Amino acid sequence: MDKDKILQDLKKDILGVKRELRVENVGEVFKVGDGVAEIRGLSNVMYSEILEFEAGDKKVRGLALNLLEDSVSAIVLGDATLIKEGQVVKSTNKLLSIPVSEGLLGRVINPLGEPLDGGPAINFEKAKNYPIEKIAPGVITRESVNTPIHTGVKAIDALIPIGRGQRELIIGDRQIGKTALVVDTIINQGKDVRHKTPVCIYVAVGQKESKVAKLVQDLKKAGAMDYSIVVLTGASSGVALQFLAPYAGCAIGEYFMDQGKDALVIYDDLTKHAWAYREISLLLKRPPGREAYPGDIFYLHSRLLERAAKMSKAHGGGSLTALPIIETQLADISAYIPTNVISITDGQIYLEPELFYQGVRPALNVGLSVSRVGSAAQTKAMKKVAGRLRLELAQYRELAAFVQFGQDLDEATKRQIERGRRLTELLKQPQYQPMPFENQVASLYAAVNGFLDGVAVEEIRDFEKGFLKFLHERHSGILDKIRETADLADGLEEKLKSAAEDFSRNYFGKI
Amino acid sequence: MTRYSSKQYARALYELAAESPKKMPLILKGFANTLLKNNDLSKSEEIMKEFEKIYYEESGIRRVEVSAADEGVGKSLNQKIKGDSVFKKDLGLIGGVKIKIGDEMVDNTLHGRLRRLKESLMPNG
Repeated sequence: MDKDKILQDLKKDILGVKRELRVENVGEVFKVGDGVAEIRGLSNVMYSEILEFEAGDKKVRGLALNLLEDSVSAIVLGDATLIKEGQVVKSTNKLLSIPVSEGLLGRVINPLGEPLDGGPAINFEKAKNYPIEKIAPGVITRESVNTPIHTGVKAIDALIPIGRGQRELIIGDRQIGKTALVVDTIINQGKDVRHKTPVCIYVAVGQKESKVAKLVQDLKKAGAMDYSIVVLTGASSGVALQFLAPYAGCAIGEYFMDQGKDALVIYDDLTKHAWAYREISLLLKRPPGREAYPGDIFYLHSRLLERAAKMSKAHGGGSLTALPIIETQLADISAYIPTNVISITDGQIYLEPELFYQGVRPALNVGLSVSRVGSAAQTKAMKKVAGRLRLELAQYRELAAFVQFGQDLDEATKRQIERGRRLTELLKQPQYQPMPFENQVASLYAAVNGFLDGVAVEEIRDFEKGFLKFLHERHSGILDKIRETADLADGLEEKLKSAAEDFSRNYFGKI
Repeated sequence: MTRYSSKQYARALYELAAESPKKMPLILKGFANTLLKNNDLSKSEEIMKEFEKIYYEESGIRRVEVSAADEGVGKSLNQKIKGDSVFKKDLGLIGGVKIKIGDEMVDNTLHGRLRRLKESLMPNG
């Protein structure tokens, strides 16, 4: 921009402002406390409208939530200690929104779009304002889920596949690897060459800031921050921000979805979000219901998760995948909030403490975890191996009870149990090591076709590592082909089979 | 015992006062006794606010608040306004006047204009 243009713009702005003298709708604070202000006046205020408190020279924003006959209750979005009785409050005629642009990528922000990572101011030049609360896309604009989002975790990609636009709940006790699972998922998005890399948005609701700092470090180390955005509300930020964080994260995701891109939003976690909303509701004197949650606690989460969508080609073809996390107490998945969110989502990944302590990590309970729509998005290659895997594991679970009695078992049963133990071992996977999809197919193919049956359980992971290395070095064509076609057609299966035979012959020959 | 809201108290007081303005001291005494009996004295401040509101509503008089940095301007404007008007001196406004009627406000002070200019230049600031 040249100098004259800037001057012209400034002149226009100044003149424009002068003409803009208008009658404003105002009110007066008459009660304030616990981050909630009660205001008289404001006769034309809208629900969820931004209010401006005139706190000296500082501008504090608030959100109108209770519109009563002769007063308005608002939650304060900034420093509530600046609000005093008698202060003038202005309505802005604007609903709460967040400025979104590509400039947010790689940043850590709060739900109002302000940077928290100590970096430079975010470039909002081409930013669009996205409303924090928005009605979810309608039926006509949607399409059924048809593209996979690979998490890089064998057990999930094979047994509980997730599609773009799906809502898959991750549920489990504290310290069981819920966040580890989503971190792996984010890291794997950059490695998935077959599909467009989605923009990953991690929303931390009331989390320990040290935990989020570590997570950001991990993502940076893995090079995943380039396509990620972290919306952070720590345990010490006000409940108002904690309540808004998931909606803000969703709004950012919608910006990318509207451009025809893919977005993945992780809400960590909705239990704390429900607590924050309970606190707000009680402060606003809304009647408490079960466990003191307000009556609209279901709607709180359903309207958020309903915004996840796969848009049809005519509407841009973008998608917004949601991975909400719920923390249970003592593995009780039948508590109030868990059952609510389970019923809203398209399936759940259930992490079990017992498995975790047995060393099965990720501690996925394959029996209780489901994905209701993801199988439509699973690749053909994965479907071919996963079907057998699921069946074998189900049979193993039924028979596993017998092992504990130490009875004499017939050969067939023994074989089934041994196979099951090996499959379970194979599905273990260390953190920060998401596996490319073609490797998963190859390794699971070897397992369900009995190539692992002769390998001792302790050596399964060595065998797998060796097998994949062997394929990379000697038969990289097979892996490339699986990645390209996502299928095991055209004699590929036979090639994979002979490679596996070749490797296992050498492997056992060595011993 | 029925609990009355501040609004109901204020309405009752207003209607009594409107019926017989001459008996006002008696009414007020009775009113205070009633509050004491109902253990509602703590509500008195809120009741007065409600009463004020009902008074302005019913009488059709609107409370006008004029704020300015310059006393002269504000006072001369105050004299021209018919009805209940209050003048507030606020040096922070720098110049111009701010008029508030009910819950509507027109801000034509220098302070307000500067703030609007700032907002238009830095919409996200």
